[in-house]
Amino acid sequence: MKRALLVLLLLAVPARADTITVGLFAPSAPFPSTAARVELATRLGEHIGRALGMTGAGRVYARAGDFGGALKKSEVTVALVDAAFLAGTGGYTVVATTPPQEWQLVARGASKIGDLRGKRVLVPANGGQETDFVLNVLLGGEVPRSFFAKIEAAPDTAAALSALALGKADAAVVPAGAELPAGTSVVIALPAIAGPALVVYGSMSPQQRALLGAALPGFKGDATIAGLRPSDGGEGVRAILRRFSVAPKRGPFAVPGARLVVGDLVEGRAFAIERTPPAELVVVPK
Amino acid sequence: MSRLAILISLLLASLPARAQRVTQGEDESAALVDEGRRELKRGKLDDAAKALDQAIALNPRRVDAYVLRAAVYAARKQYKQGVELMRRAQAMAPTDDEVLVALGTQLVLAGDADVGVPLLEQVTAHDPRRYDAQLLLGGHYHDTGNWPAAVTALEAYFAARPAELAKEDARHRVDLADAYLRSGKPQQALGLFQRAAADKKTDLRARIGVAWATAAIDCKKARPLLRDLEPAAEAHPEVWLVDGQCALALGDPGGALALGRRYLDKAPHGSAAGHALVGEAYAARGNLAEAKKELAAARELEPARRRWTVRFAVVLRRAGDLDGALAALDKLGPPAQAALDPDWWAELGETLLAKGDAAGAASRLAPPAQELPEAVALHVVLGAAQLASKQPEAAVATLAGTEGTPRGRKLLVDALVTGAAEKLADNAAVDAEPLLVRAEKLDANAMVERDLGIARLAQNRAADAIVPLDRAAKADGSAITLMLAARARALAGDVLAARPLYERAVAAGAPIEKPEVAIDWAASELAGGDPNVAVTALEKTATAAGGAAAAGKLAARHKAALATARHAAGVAALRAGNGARAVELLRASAGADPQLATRCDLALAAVVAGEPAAALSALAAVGGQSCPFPAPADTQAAPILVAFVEAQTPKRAARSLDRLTALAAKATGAAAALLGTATRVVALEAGADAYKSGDAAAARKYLATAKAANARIGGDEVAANLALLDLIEGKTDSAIVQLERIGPKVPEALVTLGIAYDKKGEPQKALDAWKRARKAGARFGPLNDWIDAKERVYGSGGEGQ
Repeated sequence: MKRALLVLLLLAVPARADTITVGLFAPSAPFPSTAARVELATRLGEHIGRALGMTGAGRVYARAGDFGGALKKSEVTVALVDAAFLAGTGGYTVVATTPPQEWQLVARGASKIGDLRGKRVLVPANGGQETDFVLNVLLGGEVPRSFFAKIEAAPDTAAALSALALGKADAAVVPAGAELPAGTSVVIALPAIAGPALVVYGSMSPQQRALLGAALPGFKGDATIAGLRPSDGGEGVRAILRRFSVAPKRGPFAVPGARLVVGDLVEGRAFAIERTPPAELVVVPK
Repeated sequence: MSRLAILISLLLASLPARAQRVTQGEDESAALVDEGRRELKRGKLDDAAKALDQAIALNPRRVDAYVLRAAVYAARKQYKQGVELMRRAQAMAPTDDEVLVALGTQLVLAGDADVGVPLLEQVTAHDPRRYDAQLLLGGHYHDTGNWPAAVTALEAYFAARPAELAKEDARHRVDLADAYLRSGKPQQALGLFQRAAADKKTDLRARIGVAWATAAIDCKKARPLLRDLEPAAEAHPEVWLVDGQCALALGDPGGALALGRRYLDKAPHGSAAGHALVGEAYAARGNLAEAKKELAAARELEPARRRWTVRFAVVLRRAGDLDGALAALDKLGPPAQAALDPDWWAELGETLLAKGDAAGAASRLAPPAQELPEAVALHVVLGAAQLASKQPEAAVATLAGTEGTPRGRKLLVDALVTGAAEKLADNAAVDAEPLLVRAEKLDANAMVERDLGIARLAQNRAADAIVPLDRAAKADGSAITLMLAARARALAGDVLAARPLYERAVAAGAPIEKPEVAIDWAASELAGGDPNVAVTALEKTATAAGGAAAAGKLAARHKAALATARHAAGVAALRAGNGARAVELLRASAGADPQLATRCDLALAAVVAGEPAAALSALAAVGGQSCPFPAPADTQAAPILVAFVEAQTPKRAARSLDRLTALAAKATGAAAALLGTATRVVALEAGADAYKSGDAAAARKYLATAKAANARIGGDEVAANLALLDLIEGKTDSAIVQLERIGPKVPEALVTLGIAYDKKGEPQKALDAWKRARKAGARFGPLNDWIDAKERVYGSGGEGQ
C-alpha cells in the first residue's frame, strides 16, 4: 500500500532535475569538527534531495546572519536548526526533531556556581539571545543578570570549549556529551531542552511534504545527530520560548476545600440495614 | 427337698410349740396335738394323723389340731381332704390367720389358686411378716410370671423367715434372683445368682442365672460365661437361646440364627423361644418375611406369651404392615399391669407413631409411662410421640432419664431444641437459653450450638454468642451459620474479625443465601465498619439477588440494602472530601431508591465534587423541601449552597457573596453556621479572583469580609492570604512571620513563604519552604519546577552559594 502511494506521488512530481539546498545551522550541536558538520549536512541534503526527486545539497551556516540571509534569498527551504534559535524566529514549520539535549555549565577551577560570580561565560550562538538563554532558559532565573560579568556567543560548541581550554573564557554553557577539555569540569547539570529541528521555510506542496515525511525516518546521521524523529508540532521550540522570560513568582491564594463547607451538614448521620431477626434463623430438628 | 417338704417345715416352724388358740384349757387333746406335731416332724404321718384325729375328736374346737392335720393331708397330697378340714376350721375361726394360711395353702396345692391366693394375700396384707404365706405367694407369682409380685413376696419372706429356715435360702434366693431378672432388675438378680452360685458351686441354675443376668447387663461379658456353660447346654439348651440373644444384641444375626436353630433342634418343648430368636435374627438381617413366619410360629406355640406377639408386631411394623401390627397388639391387649409388659406399650406407641398418630400414641402411652418411671424404652417412645405431636415440653419431661440410650438422648436434644425454638419465636430467648445449654451438654452438635448462639444474640449478648456460633460454624460450615458467627463478632465490636467469616459465608452460600449473607454483612459494616465494604458485599451478590426472583421479598430487601449502603458510603466519601465518589454512590442509591434524604446528599456531593451544573440542578430539585440536615439548615441550606456553587464559576464569586450577605438575615442555627462558612469560602474565592486579576486592593477587601464571617474553618487561609498580600506590598519580614506560623496548617502558605525567602535572597530557606509545601500536599502547578531550578543551581544542600 505504502509502495503504491509512493509510486503515485512520484508520478505526480514533475520530472525535472531541480536542486534543493538543505541548510544546517546548529551551533550547539557538538560536532567534533567542522568536517563532521559538513559531512552531516551533505548527507542530509542528498537524502532529502532523493526523497523529493531533486538534486540535494547540504550547506553549513556558521553565523546566524549568514543563515538569515540565505533564508531571505530563499536559497534554503529545508534546514536543520538549533531549537533555541528557532524560538526567537518564525516563518517555518517543524517537520522532524532530534532527541532532547541536556546542557551543562562547564568551568575551569570552579566547583559551584558561586565560584563563577563575575566571570566570563561562552555559549554557542543562537541569534543574539545568548544571555536570556543562559540565565532564564537554562538557569531558570535563579541567578541575577549581574551575576556573570559577561555572557558571550561562541560560533559553536567546539569553539566555546576550545576558548575555555585556551583560557579565553572562565566557563562555557554547552550541550552534555561534548568532549571536555583537560582542566575543566561540569559545575552544574542543566535541564534538557529540545535538540535541533528539521524545518521547512515557506510553502511546500502537500505532495512534497508527504514525500519528505516518508523519507525522514530513514535518514541515518552520525554520532552527533544519529537520525530524525517525527515532528512534535513545534512544542519543543515553544517550551524554550516560554522559558526565555521568567515570570515573577506569585504565591497561591488559599481557599478551603468545598467539603469543609458541607461537612457539618452530614455529621452525626447514621445508617442502618435491617437484619433478619436471629429467631427467624433458628434450626429445628427435622 | 421337695416344695411340699418345705411347706411342712414352714408349717411346723410357723406354728407355736403349743396350741396358742386353745380355748378349752389344758386337756388331753393338747397332749395329742403335741404328739401329732412331734410325729409329723419325724415324718410318721400315720401316727401324726392318728394323734391329731383323736385331738380333734376330744376337742373339735382345737384349731391348731386342724392345721396340723391338714399338713398331714398335704404331705400325703390329699389336698381335697385338707381343704375340707380347713373349711371346717374356717367356719369356727373365719379370721384366724393360721386357719386362713393353712386353707390358702391347701387350696393352692390343690390347684385352686384363684381361691387360695386371695386368702394368703389377705393375711400378708395386714401381716407382711407371715413368711409362710409370703413364700407360697412368691412361688405362685414366680410360676405364673408375675415377677414384680414375686419379688415383693420373696423379699418379704427373706425379711421375716426364722433362722431355722436359713438352710433353704439358696433355693429361694435363686427364685428371687430369677424374679428380679425377669422384672428388669438384672443387677440385683446378678448379685443373688452369684451368691447362690458361691454358696453351692454345683448349682447349675445359679450359674445359668449368673450368665443370664450378665447377659441382661452386658452381652459382651456374658458370652464367655455362656460358652462356659456349653457342656450343660445339651441338657439346658436355653443356654444357646440366651447366647443367641446376646449374639443378636451384639450385631451378629448370623450367630444368633445358628444358635436359635440349634436351640430349636435340642429343645422342641421350648421351641417358641427358639422360633422367636430365629425370627428376630431374620429381622435383624432384613429378611422380614422369614422373621414374620418364625415369630408367627412362636406365637402359635405360645399364644399366651406376650413377648412373641410384641416381637411379631415389631416385625410387621418394620415390614410396613402397620394395621397388622396394631391388630396383633390389640388382639393381645394391654397387660393387666403395665409393669407386666412394658414392651407391649412401647410397641403400640411405635406402631401408632409409624401410622402418623403421634397424638394418639402420646395419650395412650402417658398413663403406663407414669406408672413405670424406669421403663426407659417406653419413655423413649412416649417422648418421641410427644415431640411429634408438638408437645416439646412434655417430651423433655418424659425423656429425662433416657439419655443413656442413643435414641433417648437424641430425642431429648431434639425436644429441648424444639422447645427452645418455640420460646425464641415467642420472644422469650431468656427462657430458651437454659434449654439449649442443657441440650449442649447432651450433644454439642451444630444445630444446638447455632440455636444457643441465636438465643444469646436475641438477648443482645453478642460476645457470649461467639463461642457456640464458632463451634456451629466449625461443625457445619453452612452459609447462615457462618453469617451468624460473623454477626456475633461484628455486634461485639470486632468487624475486622467478622469479615473473613462473611466472605466464607458468601462463598459457601447457595444462590438464595448469598443475598441474605450480604445484607447481614452490610448491616454490620454500616453499624461499625466501612460502608464501602458494605457496598462491595452487596454489589457482588446483586446477580444472585436478581436470580432470587422467586424470593421476591429477599430481592427487594437486597435492593433496599444496597441503596442504603451506597447512601452511607456516599456520605462517608463526602466527609472524606471525595466528592466524585460520593456523587457516583449517591446517584446509584437515588436511582434505586429516590428518597429525599439521598437526593439532598447527592446535591451536597455535587457541590463537593465541583460539578456546578449538577449541583445547581440537584439543589433546585430539593429546594423548599426538608433535607436531613440539622434544622433550620434542612430548608435553608439549599439557597446558601446555590450561592456557594455559583461562586465556583470564575469571576462569579463577588456576586455570590452579595447573595450570601442577603441571606444572612434569615439564617439561624446550623443554617447560620453554614452561611458563615460559605460566606468565608466565597469571600476567599472572590479574593482569589481579584488576586488573579492583579487587584490586590480588592483582594484585601474580600479578605476582610472573609475574616469577618462567623465560620469555624478558613481562618488560617485568610491569614495566609493576608500574608501573601503583605508580601506583594513589600512587607516581606512581617509576611514571613505570619507564614511561618500558618505554614504547618495551610500548605499553600509554605509556597508563599518560599517566595518571601527567595525575595530576601535566601535560596536555601526558600527551597526548604517549598519542599515542606510539596510534602504537605500543596496544590500549586509551578512548585516542582521551582524546586528543580533551585536544586539545580544551588544543590539540595545550598552548596551552590
